[in-house]
Amino acid sequence: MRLTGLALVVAVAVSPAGAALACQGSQVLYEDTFETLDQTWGTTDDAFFLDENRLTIMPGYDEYYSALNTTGTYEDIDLCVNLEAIKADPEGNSFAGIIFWAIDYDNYYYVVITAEQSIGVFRRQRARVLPQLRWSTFDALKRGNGEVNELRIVTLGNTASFYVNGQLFGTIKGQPPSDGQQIGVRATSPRNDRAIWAFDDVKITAPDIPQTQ
Amino acid sequence: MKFRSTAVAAAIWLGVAGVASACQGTTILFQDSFDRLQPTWGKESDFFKVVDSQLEVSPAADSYHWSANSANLYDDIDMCVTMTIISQGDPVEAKAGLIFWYVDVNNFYVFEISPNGKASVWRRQRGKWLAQVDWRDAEGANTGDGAINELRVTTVGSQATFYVNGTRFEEVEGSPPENGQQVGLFAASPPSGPARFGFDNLKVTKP
Repeated sequence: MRLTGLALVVAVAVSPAGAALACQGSQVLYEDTFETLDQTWGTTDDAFFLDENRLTIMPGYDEYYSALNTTGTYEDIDLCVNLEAIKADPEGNSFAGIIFWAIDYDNYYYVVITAEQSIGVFRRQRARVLPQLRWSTFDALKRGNGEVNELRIVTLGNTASFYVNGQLFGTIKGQPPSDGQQIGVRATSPRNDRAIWAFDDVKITAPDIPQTQ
Repeated sequence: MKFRSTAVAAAIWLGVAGVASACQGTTILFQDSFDRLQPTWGKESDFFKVVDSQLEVSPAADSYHWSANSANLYDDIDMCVTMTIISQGDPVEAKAGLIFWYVDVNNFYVFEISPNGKASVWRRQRGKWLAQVDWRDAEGANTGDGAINELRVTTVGSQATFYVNGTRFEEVEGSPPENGQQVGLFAASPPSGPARFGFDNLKVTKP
């Protein structure tokens, strides 16, 4: 499916392809540039599809949409993705990001951003939402529709660190799944509109542990 | 942090050191020694902040403040915390304690103790306060400014049991949340002025 009426917005988007794959680990565990939709992402529908080689999510009004990738489970990861706000509302009621430490659709952690430079980290546990790092403004985030931000998560044991465009946002201690984590993507639409977010260049590497003396 | 700046507080602290960590479970689900304010407690403010590795809560006069920690949901718990009465204001109207069976801001239970040595248990349901255990003397409670008490709550199924400094205070049957509970901390100041309470060594274990 092609989006119509949004060509101008897409054309002005600046894709930092040269800096896109900034996961630091040397061993690649998974990567996806979305030339086709791999079956491990699930099936397409009107809210979840490929557009111009990007995984695009357009949740229903006042809804969120999440998708866990089923390629495999991972221990520690260094995960990065490019995330573009194609159509996010100016009040910041639309947000999107990455799911990690996922067990199932009722139990995972996620980091999400808005197009208004806000970012937060949450835990979905037994289908309830528990803030881990509450919404805050982060200047490293690029503001506005058509902008692409690179999100990066590094999980080491029970610590997760979050980076935006190469800058560290914060770190949490949490509860990784005991038998490996899944990863995924998630986006939310505001009450009165359907937001559109696009993901590209997903890459998971094994974190390189710094050498100690 | 275990240093106290006043001799009186230090002496009282030594008095309870033997029963300080009385949560009995061997599996630790959560613990916080408040070296810094974990983000899962919410934002720091003038009345909710870490001072000398202790969480100080000092609501404005005639108001209360509570914070539910958002790190985890729990089923049954054995939870304990060390609570210091830094300055009481009115020893009857000031109170502080542990929140359990927390669902949201309008639905939770709280075990409270006052600087005069009395304790009670309340349920907040749909935004209304419902007494579960009326205020009465808690045997073994330390009183007054500088007093340190260890509060402990265990929840097993629909039964909650309360302890002050290792002495059983009361037991109630209640309504735990269906899908897991959050826990938290609570403090209230009297109309005469802000009270100040310090919390340290919060621990949640599996009973």
